[in-house]
Amino acid sequence: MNVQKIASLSPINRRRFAQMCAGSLPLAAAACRRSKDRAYSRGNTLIAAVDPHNNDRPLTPDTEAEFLVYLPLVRMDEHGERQPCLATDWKHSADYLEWTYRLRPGVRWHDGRPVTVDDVKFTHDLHSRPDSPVYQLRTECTVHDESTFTVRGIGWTRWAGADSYMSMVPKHLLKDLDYQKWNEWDFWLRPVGNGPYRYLRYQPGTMVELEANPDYYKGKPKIERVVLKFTGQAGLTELLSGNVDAIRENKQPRAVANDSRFQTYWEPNPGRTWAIIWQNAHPLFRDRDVRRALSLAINRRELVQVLNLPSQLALVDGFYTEPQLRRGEGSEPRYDPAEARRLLDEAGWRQRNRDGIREQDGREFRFTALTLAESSVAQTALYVQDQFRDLGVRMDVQPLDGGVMSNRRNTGKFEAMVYYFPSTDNGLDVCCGERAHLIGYRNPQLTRLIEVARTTADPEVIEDAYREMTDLLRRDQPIAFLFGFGTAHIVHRRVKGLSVPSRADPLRCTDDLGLEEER
Amino acid sequence: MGWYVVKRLLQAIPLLIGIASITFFIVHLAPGDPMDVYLEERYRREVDPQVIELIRKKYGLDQPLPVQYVKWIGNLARGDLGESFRYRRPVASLIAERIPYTLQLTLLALLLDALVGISLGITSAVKQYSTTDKVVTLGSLVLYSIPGFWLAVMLVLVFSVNLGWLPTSQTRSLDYELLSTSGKIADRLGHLVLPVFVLGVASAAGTARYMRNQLLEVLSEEYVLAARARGLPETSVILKHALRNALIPIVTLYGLALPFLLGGAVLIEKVFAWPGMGLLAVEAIGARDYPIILATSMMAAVLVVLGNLLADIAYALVDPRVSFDATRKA
Repeated sequence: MNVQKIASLSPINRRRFAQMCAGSLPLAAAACRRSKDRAYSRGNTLIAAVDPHNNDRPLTPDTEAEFLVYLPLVRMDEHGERQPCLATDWKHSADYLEWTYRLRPGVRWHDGRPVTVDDVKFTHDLHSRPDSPVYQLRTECTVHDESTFTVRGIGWTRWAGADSYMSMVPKHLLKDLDYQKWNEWDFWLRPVGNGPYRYLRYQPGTMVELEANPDYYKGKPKIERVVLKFTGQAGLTELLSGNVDAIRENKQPRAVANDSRFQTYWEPNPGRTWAIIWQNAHPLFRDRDVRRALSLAINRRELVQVLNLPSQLALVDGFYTEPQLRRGEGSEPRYDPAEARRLLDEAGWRQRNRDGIREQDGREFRFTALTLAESSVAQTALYVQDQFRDLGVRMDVQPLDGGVMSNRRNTGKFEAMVYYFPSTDNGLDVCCGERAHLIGYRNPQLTRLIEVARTTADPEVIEDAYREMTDLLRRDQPIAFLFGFGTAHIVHRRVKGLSVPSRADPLRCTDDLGLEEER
Repeated sequence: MGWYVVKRLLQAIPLLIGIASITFFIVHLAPGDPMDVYLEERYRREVDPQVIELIRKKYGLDQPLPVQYVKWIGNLARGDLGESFRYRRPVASLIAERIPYTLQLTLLALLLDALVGISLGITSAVKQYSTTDKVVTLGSLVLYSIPGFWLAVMLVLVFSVNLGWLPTSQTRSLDYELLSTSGKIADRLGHLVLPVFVLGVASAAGTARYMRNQLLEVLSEEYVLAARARGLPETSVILKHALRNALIPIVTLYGLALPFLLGGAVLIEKVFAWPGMGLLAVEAIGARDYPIILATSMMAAVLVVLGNLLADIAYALVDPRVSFDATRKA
């Protein structure tokens, strides 16, 4: 390279630089300007951001928007009690495995055909197929007459509760379609349901528009139209731009925290919790008191604040059913750093080296925790790392992708991992059942209780088993629970009628919502 | 030339088989069971172990790896790319849906790159050491250094969120179908402005630098001096004599851009919710969706081979010194 070429890279003079800065000022000013609220200009139309996994088919069963178009048999209220929907009343057998329902009369599919018990049986049979792509119900549905039918759970999977989350589909339109091509059915693009909204138009790659169903059994919904916009990862910028009214996120983004245009409704998901899963067979974690000490050192309330999660988030130290949590039976894990230090001292981890790390027989208390390479989870791990450092324990954090994490969990190849843990008896099976070797913890008493919980549908028996299991988990601490899962529904303030926790999702209760008119 | 192309295509067959085999085993060597991710993403609840076995059987994951490999190669030879674990739809139809969106984005970005990059490069070289040259040089370096996804987010914040001039994401507006033909064209172009600008401007910055250096090098050649000495106008010297030679490496560069055309731009597609190939491939990697990963990898391999071939052909077309006959004799 010659000298002349190097000279061409020499900095521009001050005057030119000042001119360039002045030129960029309008752009900077535009960036700081508060945008006009465009949501009101849409009138009586609700636009919700969705990220359909099944390519442009947001209205397949088991998706967030399905209840706009289809109805389940019952709906759960804020107390966890069944409320009539497509079924008007019901009764169950003593063992809770057999449920008999009465179908609501006069409900029609959007094409005008009546909803019958045959549709209900067809739906149950469809989802009870061994290769069902959606649910694995293992149920038998028996029709008694034109309005009553019985559903009996026959399989390993407890089906109770499916009546509130499984929507009915029309037999007359689906019975002749090739079941193996379920996901390619055009029916899901232009669905015919029986719910509060009916299909209006579909724009590939962009959206599905629905209109209020005038024949809806509860009367025509107040919101005239609902648009499901396929925003993918761009939901937040679409919301901030005023292009959509509602998005769902894992937590409240800081960008909307102080924006008066939006309100966040937190919907807890009691089926899952974040936890630190210890490899109980590892020499560092064999001692129960050590595991207890580590759990006591974590200030979960502060962690929740750091992560910008809602303060009412459930912090529990064991396994609870949804009704138990609603009744406030869940107990919070203790935070007691002094006790944690005492327990570690007693366990023989007294000495500290010059880095402040505890040692025993010349060995440092140091381990690696695997975690998801996802910002909020990694942030959790870093917070815990900081708390452990105060305790004199060094935790290195290794972020991995989801596939590798689940593989490491399922093969037991880890020292500790900050990961989600299913708070159902299936999750318990991982830590105490047949697959207990994965985390090096085995407790015959817990294994027995898992079997009890798994082989019954009686909620009282399940709750008793859960209580006993939680006592054992609290005592042995094979895993340290952190905080529960949840979904933040961030909604424009013009949407009226939402409340937490049971009416937090605008796509689950749209028929009861309204939109504020332009001021 | 025809013989040369046929020969190159035949040579590519064993190469592609080799790439396919290596890709297959590397993808399967990666830790993580696709069923774990599939069940986790799809069901999020208890799943009967028998059902899991059924799903494994359906996708052939219960078979030993060599058996899976032979089946996959056989299906690939017949043009069957398999069914996606994640979307549970044929991979070929998923790719067919995505390619038009990717092509819109990448072709326009390449066009922007070529128009802006080459023009700025020429201007910069012709006006060497002038203020224009300095501004272009500085601007190119700045744009080249800015990460594309950051620039995309900033532009969205300014032009979409705050000013409301341009769409935030997607390929068209909600009322697209209700617009007139000219309105539809304007709407589609409006949605392309930001992603094409972000994608094209960074590469244009690189092209401008490259073009400038190439042209400066050519301008110092003796034949350019001879042309000037013959009294040819400066425009003619630059455009007819110097530019053609300076463009040779640039043309080769664009031939090699073929994989980019169909591969898409992952981060840009993510920021703008652009339903293209890049997004499909990256999401497939996270979900261990082997059929999509393998299909997109194979597509990339084929495009690299074709891109090289096109670059060679283009090189011969623009440079009379290169002859296919000479290659054949050699």
